[in-house]
Amino acid sequence: MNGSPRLRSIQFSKLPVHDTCWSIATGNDGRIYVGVCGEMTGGLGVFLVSYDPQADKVRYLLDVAEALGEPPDNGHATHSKIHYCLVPSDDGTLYGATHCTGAPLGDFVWRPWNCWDDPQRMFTGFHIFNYDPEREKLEDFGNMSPNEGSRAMALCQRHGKLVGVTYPRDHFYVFDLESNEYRDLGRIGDVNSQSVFLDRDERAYTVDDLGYLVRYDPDADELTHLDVRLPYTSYRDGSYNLIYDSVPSLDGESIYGVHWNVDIRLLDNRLFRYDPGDGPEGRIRDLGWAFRPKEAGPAWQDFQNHHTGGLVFGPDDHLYFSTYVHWKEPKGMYLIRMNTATGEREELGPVMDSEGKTAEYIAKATAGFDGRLYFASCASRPTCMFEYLPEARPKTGMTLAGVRRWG
Amino acid sequence: MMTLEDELDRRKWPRPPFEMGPPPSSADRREWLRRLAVSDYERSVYVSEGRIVLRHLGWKGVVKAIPPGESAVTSLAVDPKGRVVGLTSGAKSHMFIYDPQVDRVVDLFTIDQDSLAKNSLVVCPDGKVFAATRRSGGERGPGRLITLSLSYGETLTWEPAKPQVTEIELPRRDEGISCLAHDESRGLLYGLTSETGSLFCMETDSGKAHIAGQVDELGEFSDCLAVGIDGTVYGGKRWGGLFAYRHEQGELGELGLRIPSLAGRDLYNRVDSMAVDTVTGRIYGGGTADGVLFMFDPKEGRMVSLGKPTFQPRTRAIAIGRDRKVYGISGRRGGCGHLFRYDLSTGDLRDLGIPLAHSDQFWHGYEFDSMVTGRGGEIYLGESDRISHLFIYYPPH
Repeated sequence: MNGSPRLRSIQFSKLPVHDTCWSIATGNDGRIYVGVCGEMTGGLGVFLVSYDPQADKVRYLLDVAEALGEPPDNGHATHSKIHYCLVPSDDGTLYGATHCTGAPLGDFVWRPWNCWDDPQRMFTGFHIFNYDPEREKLEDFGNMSPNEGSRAMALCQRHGKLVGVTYPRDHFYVFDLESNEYRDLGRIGDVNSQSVFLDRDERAYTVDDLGYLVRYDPDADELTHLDVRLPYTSYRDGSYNLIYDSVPSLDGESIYGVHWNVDIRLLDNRLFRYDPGDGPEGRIRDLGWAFRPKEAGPAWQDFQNHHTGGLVFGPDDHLYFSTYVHWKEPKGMYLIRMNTATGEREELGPVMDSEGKTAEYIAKATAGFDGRLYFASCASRPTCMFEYLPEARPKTGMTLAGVRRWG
Repeated sequence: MMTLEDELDRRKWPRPPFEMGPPPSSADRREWLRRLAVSDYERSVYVSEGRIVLRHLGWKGVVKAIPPGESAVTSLAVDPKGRVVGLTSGAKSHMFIYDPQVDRVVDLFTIDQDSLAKNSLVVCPDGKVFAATRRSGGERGPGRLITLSLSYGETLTWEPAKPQVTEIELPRRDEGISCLAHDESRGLLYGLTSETGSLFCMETDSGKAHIAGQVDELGEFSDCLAVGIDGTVYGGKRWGGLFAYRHEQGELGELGLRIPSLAGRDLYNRVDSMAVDTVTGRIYGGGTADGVLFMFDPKEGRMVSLGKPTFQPRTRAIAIGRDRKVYGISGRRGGCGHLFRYDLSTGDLRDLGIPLAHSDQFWHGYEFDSMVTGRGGEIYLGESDRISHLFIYYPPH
């Protein structure tokens, strides 16, 4: 079976053993930047790669781990990933943070808990860095928190702060770009949320293990647990309804998000809209199951993969995302288009290129300035991203202003 | 000059240990063995002997738990009815009660702000409670020392009446309290002041108190005390030393013993926690520097190193179970603590792993600062994190 001619995969073939792309971002130069990660083979470090849509060219920019002084053969758990922590800045540079779970060279598995106090195998702690693609210049801000990776990060551009959550302890952190000061604001949960998003005022949000929003106000420098909760199906109690992906609405007033189907249990897979300005703590609106046509049957009757990721607005102002379809062949990630005004969803077919290469898992997505959509793909060797060419073209040229500032 | 892309073409990559996709058939024995090992590896780091549950610090689903930043459980005690009373530290210190019979926690009241209440809770056989704090920041006074009586109806309602609290004059007006201990048989309350480490003694009935003296010349002392079965009070001083106070004689002095540490690290070591075995009178504890477990026998004046149970420093809390086993928790601040066990009958010292609860919530317990044995032999562990819970460990039969 071949996929849609509108879809193609862009493979990172010079990294044949790397297996996942968790982070993807559009830069100020219109290029697509990807963190190409190696988490399933010991001794691999993350690479920063760019794709130029105009020239149709992939460039391998940086062996990130090596450049940060964390060579992947040093016996420690590797700086194997840039998780949801690659963020474009107004000045054309990118901020990134590294992440763990890749095993040391020669080992076939690594978990942070097993190696916490092992001076050799421990993860040295995530770095925050800035990369200027034009000057090919890296600025390393150093190790932030020993043993921990950065799971998700956002850039409060006007406030000069990066905010994020660590893994595995799920602490909320703030990094001040002026003073280079890293501050740990403490634990917010156990099972990591996969997204830290911003409102117009650059207040940052994520959720705790019960799905309640946690808000960081960069003006007050305050972390607050809100009474606003992600939606959940009536037959569940809402526990572990963590957020997986989120994207700002076109007017920037709202945030669209989706649950994470964390692998400890299969949970809700609902879309929601959060309106931060609706009341003192904002308001969540449940938009229902991300995509579940009648033929899928009721959600309570199965224990299937319900992953949804890659939320991105297209040039037709519709919300695109990818969701796992298990109720028909071929099973796998499908591309869905949603009219957010009506709530109507449309299945666009499997995420599969014209040669039949499919996506096992779509993490996050970004839009190019020409309106094409890019989806970071995981679990393939070599790993790749998928490019989708929507029918509509952008009304006007897109700019970085429309690109989200979180991973 | 060779570009990164040129270099990548020549680079040798490690061989993936696993193929992508579903597990292979058992015919691919090497990969099959590795996959089995991964599963064992992941499980092996958590406590697997016995059961671990946690309880939120509030009546779940009815009343909100004690808020983040105020919930670190740093003192625990068991009352005469078998209920567990706790104190928290942080932006506020709360007193709470967990009743195993109704299986819920009730937040009783706030006793202080910007305060630390470590090992600072005593419940007398008549239900009288003594609680103390010291300042952890700010400048609004040194801390509190209070007493109150429990009514035993607190956990039957979600909004218990605030107990009648009586303020006790601090032994030193400008100092809070570092820790408390109780000599039940003599009706005496002991404590250390927070700055100078002055040991004080108070009659629990009359409130009559006196200061016995400063326990360490350099002001380096531990925030825990142990009352031996003969009524002698023991505590830690600088460089792993111990002091003893004999009330009848009014003698406060150094014991001339040091708790064990790794070689060359006495200077960094202090008693971190202690528990008295009421059967033998021996005292078990651990040190701050390396987390080496010790046994101190007051009768023989003997200090024995029992070994280092985990990879980690510190022994932040310790308790003696009804199963004649010593349970302790190690781990530095900001670390990943492990529960360990020392078997008093066999001498087996074992790292049990990280406390991971699946009920009421899936939650890794990384930091703990208090521990107490319940009436049924269950071990209560006070989590000490920004968001904290009461963990309950049920040892295997």
